[in-house]
Amino acid sequence: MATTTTTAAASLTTLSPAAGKRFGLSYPSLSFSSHRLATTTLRTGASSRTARRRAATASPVVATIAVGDKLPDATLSYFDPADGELKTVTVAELTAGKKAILFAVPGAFTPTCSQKHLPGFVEKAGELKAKGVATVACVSVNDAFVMKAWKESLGLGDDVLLLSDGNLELTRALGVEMDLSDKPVGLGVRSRRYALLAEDGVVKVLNLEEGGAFTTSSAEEMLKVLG
Amino acid sequence: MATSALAALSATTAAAAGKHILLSRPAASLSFASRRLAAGASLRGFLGAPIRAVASSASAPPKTIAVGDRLPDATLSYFDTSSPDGELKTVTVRDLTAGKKVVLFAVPGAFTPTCTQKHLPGFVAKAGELRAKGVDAVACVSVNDAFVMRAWKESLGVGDEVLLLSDGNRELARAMGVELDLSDKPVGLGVRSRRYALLAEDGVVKVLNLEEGGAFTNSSAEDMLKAL
Repeated sequence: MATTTTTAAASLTTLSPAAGKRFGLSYPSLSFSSHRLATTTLRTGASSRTARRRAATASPVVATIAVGDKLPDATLSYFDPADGELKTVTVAELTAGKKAILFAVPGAFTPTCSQKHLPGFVEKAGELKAKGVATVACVSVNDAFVMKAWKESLGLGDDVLLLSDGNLELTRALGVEMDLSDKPVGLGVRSRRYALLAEDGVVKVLNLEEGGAFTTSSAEEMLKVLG
Repeated sequence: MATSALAALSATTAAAAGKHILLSRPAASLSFASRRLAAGASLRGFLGAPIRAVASSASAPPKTIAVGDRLPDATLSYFDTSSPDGELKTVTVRDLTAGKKVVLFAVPGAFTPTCTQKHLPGFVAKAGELRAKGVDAVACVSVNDAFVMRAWKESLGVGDEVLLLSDGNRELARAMGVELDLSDKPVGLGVRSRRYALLAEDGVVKVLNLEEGGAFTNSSAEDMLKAL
């Protein structure tokens, strides 16, 4: 099986100088000061399907992402295994000018995600890349510490990037939130499961599940549509 | 066809209702009743609105917990790794604390450095000494789901000395007025709990070491031992 000559994480930094920005967080003391939430700006692509309406919650609700839409921009984060630093990458940096697969799981360390969805993409990453996919990235509404621990627990390399959408920025912008906060397991609000193929940031294939079901969003399904 | 994790979860929690567990340590057995989560968690306020520690009703935000207050009730969850099926169980703050001395400490996040390297290990190391001073249970709570709490527990090799409980829907953190809004930071922590360690006797707070944010100054196990 062919191995990648550069890690996917290293390839991120070649995208643009802005990619893989470092944040000077001082460890080991995790000192944060609590402060009011700044209003999150939701930016979606100029898609004719995007509709904004004010719900009773006063949070803007966007239409669900669809084939043909430009992916909204959002900032995701990860710990770079090369230097252990927290880095960020935008959806634009991940997807501009190439074929990228983005798939979302409801939660790191949850059974289906850990046992089937992510491992499936890890296994098929080589085949996907042979079909011209430059980036395969997994996104979850978990913080970057948890994503790193999950990656390590599964012994993964960098064929599939594990990116944190812990502030729900991308999930909200895609309109794929899933509110599980009435369930005792404590998942709160997460992302619906999906797998999508984007070309130069435009969605070409979208396999979006109802909730956390695992039917069409697998790596095998994505391989089939790539032909 | 693989069943969804969520469908499996619903079955698990239904089965967990009313189950008792016995921890394999000499302390009193903890019996738990599973109950439906009160409508305290809501989508609004998660992003895009100022965080006030409110429940979904229009009541005034809970003030920050203080010595002398009764702990608010809330439902926490965990995977019972001591039972053969390792199923999801819930425990209320009331069940956890009624008629006992309990040390409850909160961390901003599982797998974060200070929590993983200092705060939790400190309590694991001192659990025996705390019990010798009459503490019936030591519990760690975090705004993480129960899957993550279980994985964290396993990664650190924690046994039953310290219970790791999920406040993943932020019910307890909100009710105590200790939410910590980190959602403008890129690491993706969202809204969590301030770090604290408290001693409750029959559910009433006797000692409270509440940090500003995630700082680690007086909320350690050593500090709690000194106060006992």
